[in-house]
Order: sequence, then C-alpha cells, then structure tokens
Amino acid sequence: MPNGNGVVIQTSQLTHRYGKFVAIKDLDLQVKQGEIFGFLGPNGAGKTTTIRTLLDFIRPSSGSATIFGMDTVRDSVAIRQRIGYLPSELALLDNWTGVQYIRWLEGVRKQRFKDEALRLAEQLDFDLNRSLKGMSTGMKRKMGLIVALAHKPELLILDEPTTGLDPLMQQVFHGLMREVREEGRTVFLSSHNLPEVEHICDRVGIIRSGELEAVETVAALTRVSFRWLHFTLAEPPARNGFSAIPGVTDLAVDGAQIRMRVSGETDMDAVIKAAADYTVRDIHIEQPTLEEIFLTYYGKKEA
Amino acid sequence: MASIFNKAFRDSKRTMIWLSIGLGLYILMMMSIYPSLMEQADEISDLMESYPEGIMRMFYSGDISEFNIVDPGIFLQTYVGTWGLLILGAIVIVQAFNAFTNAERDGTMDMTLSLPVSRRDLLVGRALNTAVTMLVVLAVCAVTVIVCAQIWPEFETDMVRVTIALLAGIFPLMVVAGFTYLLAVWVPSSRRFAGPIAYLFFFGSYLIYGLVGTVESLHWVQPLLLFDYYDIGGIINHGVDITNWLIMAAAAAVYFGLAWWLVDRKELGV
Repeated sequence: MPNGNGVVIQTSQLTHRYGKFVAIKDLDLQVKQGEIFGFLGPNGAGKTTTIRTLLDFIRPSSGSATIFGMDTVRDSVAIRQRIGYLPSELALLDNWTGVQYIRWLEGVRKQRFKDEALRLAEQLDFDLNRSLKGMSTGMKRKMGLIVALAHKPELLILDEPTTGLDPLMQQVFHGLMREVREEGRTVFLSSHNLPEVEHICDRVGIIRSGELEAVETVAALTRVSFRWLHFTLAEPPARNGFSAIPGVTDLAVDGAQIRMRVSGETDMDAVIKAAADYTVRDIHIEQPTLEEIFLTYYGKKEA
Repeated sequence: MASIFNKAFRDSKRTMIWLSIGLGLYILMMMSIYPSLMEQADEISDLMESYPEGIMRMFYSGDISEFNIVDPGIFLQTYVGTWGLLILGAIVIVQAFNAFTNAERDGTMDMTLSLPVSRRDLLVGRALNTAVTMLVVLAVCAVTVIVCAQIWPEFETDMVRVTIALLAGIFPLMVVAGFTYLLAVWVPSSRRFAGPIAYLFFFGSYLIYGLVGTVESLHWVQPLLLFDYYDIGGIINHGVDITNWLIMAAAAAVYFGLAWWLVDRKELGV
C-alpha cells in the first residue's frame, strides 16, 4: 500500500557521500502510485546511487527515504518483497536455466509466478529452458526483465532497462510498462535516453551532479525539448523556406546541407512541406544531449 | 535463509564432490603404504630418531618422545590431518570470499539482495553451506579411512574415535570460516588485501606454529594459534579434549558474531 497520499516512493533530504564525494545531495522526491516516473540524468549524475539507496544496498549519509510508507533501511526486507528490480549492470546467478532460476525465486519470494514468467518469456522471445551461462547481454537483459516483472510487484525499479535490447524488444518493453501502469502499479525508471523517457513516462525527475534539478510532466519536458534536423539537398537552396516556421531556430546552411533546431512544439508538417520545395537526398534527426536539454530548460545559452 | 542455503549448497555440490573424491583418493593412497610402514617399523623408527629434533618439533606438535609413525593416530595426523586441514581451509577461504567479496564485485550480490532476503540471512545461509559442505567432505574422509581399515587390517584402531577425530576438523575449519567471513564483510570489496590477510592468518599461523615449536622460549605462542587445538592423533590415542573444542567453537562464534553485526552496516558494492 502506498502512504495516505498515494505516494509510493518518498525521499526527504536524501544525501549519500562516498568519502568526500557527494553522489546525491538533499534529494526530495515523490513518486505516486500508478505512474511511470522517469529518472533522467547523464552518466554519473547519481541515478544509480539513488536506486541503490532506495534498495538499501547503501545507506543514506543523511536524510531518509520511504517506500510504501516504510523506511528503506529499517524495513528493507518487507519492501523488497513488494518490488521488482533490474540493475543497470545485470549479473545473474548464471549456473542455472531460466526455469530453475524462476523456481528458486518462487522459493525466496514464497509465491508462485512461473506461469507469468512463461508469458513474459514468450512476449520477450526468450527460452526459459536455456542455460543462462554464456548468454548475450541482450538475452540476459530479457531474463532480468522477467525476474523483475514475473511476481507482479507493486513497484518496479528499473535502472537503464533497455540497455542491450534491440529496437523490437524495446517496443515490447514499452508495451509491458503500459500494462504495468494500467494495472495501477508503479514504475521508477532511470535512463539517460530522453526519447525513451518521453515515450513511456508520466513524469520525469531530472538529476544532475547529484542534485534534483526539476520534476516535470513529460508534456512540460516535451515543450522545452527539441531536435536537430539535418537535410541534405540535391543542390544548395536558392532561398530559405524554413526560417519563418515558428519553433525553428539556429538555421545553418552549408552548401546543400541544412541544419536547424526544431522545438518540441514545432508544427513538423510545416517543416516537411517547406522541405518539399527542394529535392531532398537525406534527412537525419539528431536528439539533443541531456546537457543541451538542461541548458535549454534553464534558459541558458546552449553549448 | 533456507533459500540462500539451498542455492549455495547447490552451487557448492561440484566442489564438494570433487573435493571428496580427491581427498578420498589421497587417503586411499596414504593408507596403502601403511602395511609396508608396519613391516619396516624398526628401520623407520631408527630413521626418525636420526632426524634433528628441531625438524621433528616443527612438524609434530605432540610429545616428540612419543612419536611413532606407525601409530595409527599419529599416522593419520601426519598424513591426513595436517594436509587435509590445510586443503579444506583454503577451500573455506574461497567460499567465504565468493559469498561476499566476489559476489559484490561481479554484481550477483545486488540481484540476491534485491530479493526479500536480509544481509544476515545471506551470511547465515552461506556460512551454513560452508559448514555442511565441509562436514560432508570430512565424513567422506572418515568413511574412506574405515573402508581402508577393512582393506588393510594392519591399521588397527578405534574407528569411532577416528570418525570423531576427522569430523572434529569442522571446529578449526569454522574458525577459519568465521575469520574469513568477518574479513569479507568488513573490508570493502574494492580493497584487495582481505584475501592475503585470510591466507596469512591460516597458512601463516601454520608456519609460525611450526617455527615457534622449534624454539623453546617461544612455545608460549603456540596456544595462541589455531593448530594447537586440533590433533587427530591426540583424539584417537587419548580421547576428546572438550576444552579444545570449546575454545575453537568460542573463537568461531566471536568471528561470526562480529560478521553478523557488521554485515548489516556494510555499504555494498563500494
């Protein structure tokens, strides 16, 4: 059960130091029941440290955290009965087959969920009868997802969950996350992949250098997010039909190459129609870096 | 805790089986020379007497004047007790570090502790596995000696005492296990000195024990060392000395108790 306010995860001034290095600082975070919360930040921002603190692998240097209203240090075993976890660097106890692993997990959790594991394995195109030893990173990742999801936990904590999954499996994963949300369960998902977070999350927390910079809805994030659009034309353009389109900025023309920054609210149809005036050889869409998003978010000059 | 034990025991099965086969074959080989030792007892006794006393004291902890290699108890202590204990102690150290330090390094600890399992359950489950694994190997060694005594009836002694003496090997092994689990829990997995300390504690104390045995003025050091408390020959020839068992059990309990207290305060994966 979440606490009285429907809050599943709550951190209060949560801080963790490794010696003199402050990995996370005064983190105040709330994740509500039934939402998919994206925890977005570049590598080394403190995402994994936050997750490891929530799971009681490491202890807060100061501050506190609760999950389901229970203290993450004092009640960690009871909390972990109700959560599923996928680490960023997955290391399975790999001298078993998938089925043997699931059976062992059933014993640990004192719960039967083999049927659900088989259903997930089918969706993820994974053979549970195979030995886990020698599996590729992507295949182990699938097994990790099955382990995290099979017991239908109330809260899923996923650290960079799609790393190593091919695009098709990423789509399957997004579908699974939607299923989880529809069932009223909660997902806390860390990522440095903005499009993924935009695609499946309801709200996003942005962490940078150990500090929570902002918590926004995906809609708000999309408003400040942008894309870099590159057109390669057959010949240098005689005139510029893009600059008048609202949301298009930083237009640069270099011979037959056009590069522009397109905001999240730009009417893409207008951009495509403007491009139709030329013979287009190639189109390339480049996602902004997280640093660019942070700088845009705070209205600073982009890098 | 039962699930952790089951998993650890399953993982240890291969080690246990091959260790039992290896030590069983070693005992078989050693026991096969016993009849010829008996036949040449006088010559061997003369040979032993020609050895410098220092060497004898270095490798035999009992009363030198009583040393007789064809005595079944002394024979087992010399050829099985010492070497078997050193081999099994090394395996115990490996198991303890696999349970914590290596599991932290390879990330499997994260997967285990993301389940509803407390750190203390993990420690107790893994330590229990070490104890059971070692007891099984020691039992196989005892059975092998009993079978060998049937094959070579010259090896005539009280088989109940032989069995007790061999199974009592669990006491020094659990002292080593306790010390190593404590190190594995206490020293961060990123530090590389815990392993050498554990091996120094065990093999080093064996060497120091032998060394101080040769210097009369340092004999007082021997009771501080583990090897002073386990002697197969002593148990077979003079019966069980409960005090020795209690001292080893207390030492193991202190080490495991400290490990149990510390494991809940440990920063994992650091």
